[in-house]
Amino acid sequence: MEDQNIEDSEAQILDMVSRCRNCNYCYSDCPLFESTRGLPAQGPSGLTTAIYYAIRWNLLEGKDAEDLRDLLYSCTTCGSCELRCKKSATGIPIVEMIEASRRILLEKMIGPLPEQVKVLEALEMEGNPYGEPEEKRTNWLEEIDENLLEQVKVIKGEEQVETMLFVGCTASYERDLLDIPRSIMKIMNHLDTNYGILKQEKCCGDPALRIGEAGLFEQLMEFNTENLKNAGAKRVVTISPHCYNSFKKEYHNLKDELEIKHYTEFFADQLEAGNLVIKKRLHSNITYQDPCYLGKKNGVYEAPRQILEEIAGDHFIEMERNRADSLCCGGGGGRIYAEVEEIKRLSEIRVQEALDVGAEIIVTACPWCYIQLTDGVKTSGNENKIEVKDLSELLAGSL
Amino acid sequence: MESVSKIDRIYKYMENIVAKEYISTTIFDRIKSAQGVFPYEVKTEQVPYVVVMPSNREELVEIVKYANMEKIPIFISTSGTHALGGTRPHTHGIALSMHRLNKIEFLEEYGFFECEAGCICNKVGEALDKKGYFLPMAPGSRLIATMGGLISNNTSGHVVDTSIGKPGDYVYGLEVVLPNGEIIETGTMGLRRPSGTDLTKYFIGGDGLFGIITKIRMRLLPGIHKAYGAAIFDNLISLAKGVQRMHREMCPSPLFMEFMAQDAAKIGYEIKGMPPPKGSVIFFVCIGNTEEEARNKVDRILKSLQAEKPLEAFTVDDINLWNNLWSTREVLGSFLMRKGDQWMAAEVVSNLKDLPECMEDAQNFYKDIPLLSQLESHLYGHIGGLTFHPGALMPRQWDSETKKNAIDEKFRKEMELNIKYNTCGGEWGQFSKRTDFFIKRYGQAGYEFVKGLKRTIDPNNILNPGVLEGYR
Repeated sequence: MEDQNIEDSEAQILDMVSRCRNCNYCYSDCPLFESTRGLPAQGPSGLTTAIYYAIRWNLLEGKDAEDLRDLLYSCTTCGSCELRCKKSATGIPIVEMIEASRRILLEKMIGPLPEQVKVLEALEMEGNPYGEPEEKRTNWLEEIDENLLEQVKVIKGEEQVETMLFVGCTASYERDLLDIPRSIMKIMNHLDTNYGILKQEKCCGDPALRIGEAGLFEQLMEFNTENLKNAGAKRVVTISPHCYNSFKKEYHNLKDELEIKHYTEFFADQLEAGNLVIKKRLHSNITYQDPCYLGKKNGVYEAPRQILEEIAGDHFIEMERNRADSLCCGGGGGRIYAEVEEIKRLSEIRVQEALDVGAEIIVTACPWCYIQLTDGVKTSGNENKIEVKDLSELLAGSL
Repeated sequence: MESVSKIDRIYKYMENIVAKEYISTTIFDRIKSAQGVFPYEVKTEQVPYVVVMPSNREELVEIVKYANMEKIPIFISTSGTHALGGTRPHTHGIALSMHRLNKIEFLEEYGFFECEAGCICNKVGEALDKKGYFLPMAPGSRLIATMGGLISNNTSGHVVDTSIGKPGDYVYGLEVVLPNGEIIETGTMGLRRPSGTDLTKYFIGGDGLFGIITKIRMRLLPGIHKAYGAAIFDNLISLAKGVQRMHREMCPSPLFMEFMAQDAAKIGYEIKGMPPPKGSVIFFVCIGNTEEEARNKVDRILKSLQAEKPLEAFTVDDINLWNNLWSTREVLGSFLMRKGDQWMAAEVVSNLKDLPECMEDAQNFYKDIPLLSQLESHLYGHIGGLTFHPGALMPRQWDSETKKNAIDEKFRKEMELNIKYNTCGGEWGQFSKRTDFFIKRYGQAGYEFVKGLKRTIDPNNILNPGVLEGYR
């Protein structure tokens, strides 16, 4: 839809939304509906109805336009509604419609949310959403033990590498998350993997695409595609499920040429092949938060579980809502950069669900889930009861 | 479009009653609350002035009193799943969402539970299940439909009425806000329900005409064991005769008994990766206090069905096979709609004596309707409850007016058949799109009786106006 003009996009949205049978079953799985006041439009078909009438009744100006913007940008784009619609109704690509509508709002200078404007500027200027200097992207390596750095190639020019670890913006710049890339490197080294990281890695473009800036996404995609191809990589392993989803679904010139793996898939394969052996088992009760862009969007549910079951055995306990039924942490869809309405914080609900099954550790495999859940533990006052870990940390510690 | 000053005036008053963040004048909340389930567009004159989400009955009382004072209609929309469009306003008003009334309390020492009207059916079912109880309701919309709306409708959904009755049969009492703002409590806290006048019955299945249900007290039922059966018939008339025989021979009624005509079943089977059935399919669930009791019921029903010489009749022991069979029915409508058109179905109910003839009528449902006769149609239904759902795919490209006409035509044909068989729908209610039916079925005197009640209880016609009149 990127190349379409506004009129074509609007026509496509009207056509697609007119397929909705208004059953509203999508509300039953929607984190937005669950975490907000639950007003009529605060759910999937509420958003698509809003888009439909905004176009049909020309409600794209003034307060109506602002209301529409706030509604559309409150969606986490987790995809629960699409799974529900596919299962119980007409199978409308609801999130696709929401994202197409965001592109229209951006074109018309109605969107995005004010905080997200800075994100787009930062992506354009520095290649990351945080506005951190581009040249400092790999500075985190300076904080890693030297012996861990012996095996990794930092690709600056012509060097070739078999497996490219795509670190992503959050793991590169967020120091609190340093243990995630460190752990992954430790496991890669343990496996004697021929791998590298890009010196000139830029954001995969997911935030731009989710916010509605398709042109900027294209630029970032072209940059990363070229660099990955130049490095001769046969495989890309991502830390973030959002990068994974971008490569797998959106990088049209890359997805068929390279093997794209989330690190949980890569390590689960190695575990199955007998190349990874768990030596230290965990005796704390753990549970797993399915990242939406790994699970719901790409169907990767079992690889992380395969690893966790190996690490924790019977101490691995599922939350009541798991796999396709799991609850979004609230960080996707560009929401991690903005303040959106949350009467009940999704991360706090999820922390409570983890506590309800007796978990002492919530494990996840997404930097944004990690941040959201860590906040949720703090804001709900459960710091002494439960902690958040990335799966890579547990795996690295168990070897 | 409604006037801004009126919206402001209502909003300002509402602010004195409900926390302002739960009052919305946003155009998109207002449109959505007017949408309902029909595929034709909302008109500007249907858009409510405000959407209000009261948190308790006291707030609700004040809203209703204000609406009476100002003579502003109140429409209860909440989840908006009413299949006859009862939640779609025909004029401006105050739209109420009851989602904040969502508490559930188990009073096991009394043998019942109480839930507020905004509780979602599925969540109540899950909460009961966790405690080893069973919710005697199974509407198709259970994922999002509220308990208040369902009890106002008293819908059977998938449930065969002769198995466990209607949801209302398990209601011990209600808390209701009347259209004048008075609160009443009906029924009893005992396990024995009132004889004589039981106010509860004015509101169960009351189509939302006489009061706003705020709390429901329902019997706690022990968890059940299930057993499953299925049969395949080479023609639909034999299938109908099999079900007729089951009832006539006083077999224990199944909890659910669904059927799909062969063409419909083929689609469902294909989606689930099963080989196509050789004929039309019937599948059913029996319940018992023990597994043995449930299985005995299945055996008894199969014996009865076998007398009509099905191609196959068998117990389903493999739960995965059962889930697949059930899914074939569940996925059918959604699969058809994926082609892009909109699935609409009617609710035709037969009497027991004429079930085979009604089956034939249901097969031919769309044939003589000018606008709809060319559409792709399929037949399925809750055959244990003698209910047929002839459905057709309506092109989404049709304009709103054509869609509305098509739906009106469908309801006219539905009326014709339910009049012919002296029956009525058991799932969707009696007014809104069915007001004409009600008058034909029960006569002008019957209709005047309800109108008289409505006038007495709601003299300003504040509550859900248009439902009784059929303005939908």
